[in-house]
Amino acid sequence: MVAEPSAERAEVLDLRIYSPTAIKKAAYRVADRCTVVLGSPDGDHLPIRFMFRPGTADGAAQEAVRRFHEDLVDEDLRERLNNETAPLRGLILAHAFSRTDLIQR
Amino acid sequence: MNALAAKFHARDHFAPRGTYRLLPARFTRLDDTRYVVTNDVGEHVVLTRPELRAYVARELSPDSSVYAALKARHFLFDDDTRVALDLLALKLRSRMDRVASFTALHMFVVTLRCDHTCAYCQVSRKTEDRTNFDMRPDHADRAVEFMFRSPSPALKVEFQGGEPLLAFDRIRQIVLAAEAMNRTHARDLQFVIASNLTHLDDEILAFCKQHNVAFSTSLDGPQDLHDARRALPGASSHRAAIAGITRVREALGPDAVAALMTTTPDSLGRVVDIIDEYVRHGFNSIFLRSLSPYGFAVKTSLLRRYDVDDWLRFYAAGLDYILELNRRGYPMREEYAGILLHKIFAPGGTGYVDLQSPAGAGIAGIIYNYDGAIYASDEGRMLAEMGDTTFRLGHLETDSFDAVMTGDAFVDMLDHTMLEAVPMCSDCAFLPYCGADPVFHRATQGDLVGHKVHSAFCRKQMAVLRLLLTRLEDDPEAAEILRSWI
Repeated sequence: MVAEPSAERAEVLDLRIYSPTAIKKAAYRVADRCTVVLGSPDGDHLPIRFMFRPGTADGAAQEAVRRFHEDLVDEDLRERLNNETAPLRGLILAHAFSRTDLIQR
Repeated sequence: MNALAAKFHARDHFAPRGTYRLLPARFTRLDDTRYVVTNDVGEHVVLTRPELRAYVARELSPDSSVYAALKARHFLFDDDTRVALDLLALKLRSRMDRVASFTALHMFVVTLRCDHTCAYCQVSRKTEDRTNFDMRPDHADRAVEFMFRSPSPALKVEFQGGEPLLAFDRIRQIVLAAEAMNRTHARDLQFVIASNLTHLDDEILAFCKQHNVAFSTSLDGPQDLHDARRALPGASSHRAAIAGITRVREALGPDAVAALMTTTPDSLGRVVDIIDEYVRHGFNSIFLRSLSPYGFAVKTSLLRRYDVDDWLRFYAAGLDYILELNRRGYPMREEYAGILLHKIFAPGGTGYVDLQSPAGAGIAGIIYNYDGAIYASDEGRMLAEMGDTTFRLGHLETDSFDAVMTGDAFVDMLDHTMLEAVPMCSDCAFLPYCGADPVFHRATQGDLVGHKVHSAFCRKQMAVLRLLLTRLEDDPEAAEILRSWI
């Protein structure tokens, strides 16, 4: 079924739960299904719009939104993992190449 | 306290502490309920969603099997031991060592001439009599000198075309020149000719035997399938290939010739026939390759007749059939799976050009074209034949090794192909097993990086890796077979 109403859909995300970076990364991941337009934050609230290609079926639009939210939860978890481990990653890299002649070679 | 007790920690020293610290990791969905988690050195575990959340929240019990698996593979560390940091650094250094000892594969396009007119040819071939499309002798000498400037301890020389045997004098010149230089350089030197084998003769085989030159050829499947796309005017390409394979084996030994197949639209429903053809001719491996978006494959619109999902169905059916053959007792491996499994389980990874970060083009392999131009990869010169010279690094006549390897064309490419800095790739659990393919993305999306959700390369990689990891997790018998391919 082709449904005109699915051409655009609006939501509001809570910035106390999800960071702008996590939201942008989740939006990037669904770029093959829809365009996620981020609005201006209003306090802790971020309005977003899902824009679908003309002729997108209602079910496909719903699936894209569901996928966005699933990715958003993953991105939030990635952010927590990365925030905690970023200094260690730098330390491991520095340690790995501290005693090589990689630069001189 | 007696003397013996003083040498050991008290019992409570070994008791679980209940706290741990996370080590750098990436995760990606394997299916609806599970995630693949990897670290920078390619160790992996598969976790359920609750296990993943508990791991990141540091809520795992030290007594759990998940905790033990994550600790053993350096995804966390605790007060018991901090050796994980040292081990990760050591493994990372080993994994990245190939960047310092760069370029192992050197491809020489000794001629563009060819007797075949293959529908999917990636090269702009020329007819047999047009010798101005042969590599000049002085360019060949310069290319050999260039090759020995590479710091790689192993050098593999691959002769390509066109049909390289049409310019066998040039091959002979390059082999002899390389062997002479190697008396001083002492590298692990190997030669292979990528040929359709129609121009083999006793003199060529005798030279190859004397100088340990191996062959690689095309075998697309049974005769009807092979001859449909690999046209040899006035003869059967399939018959010529089989005769050539037999002849090489008799002269040089059973392992002196490898075969490659290319998936055409006609192949899609016939993967079993194709694999059976390899078995019939005594091969123990097959490389199920998709078409590349270059050369005649584009001109003849072959590419538009199947997409990556079609190829993935073909590949999955082929992999299952190969596993079945192994269960029945015939040892057979799929080469692409073998490369990926090697990257999953072996710390050093592989030198496979398409699966490197930064890109393997130039670092893993480099190509000297018939006209003296130097390209970062085979596909890069194919793109140049289509008018895009992004991957032209220089010319043997005018550019030194130092100028080429520090030139903007090469350095810019490296700069754009570090997956660790590419959107989506930087967060992907498959990063240690994957690579940047800048030529593919340049050809299909117009830039070196590409948007991964629109990338057929990314879709293919993710799907094949998910397929392999699912088999490894869920099918112990298949896992045992797959591990034997490493």
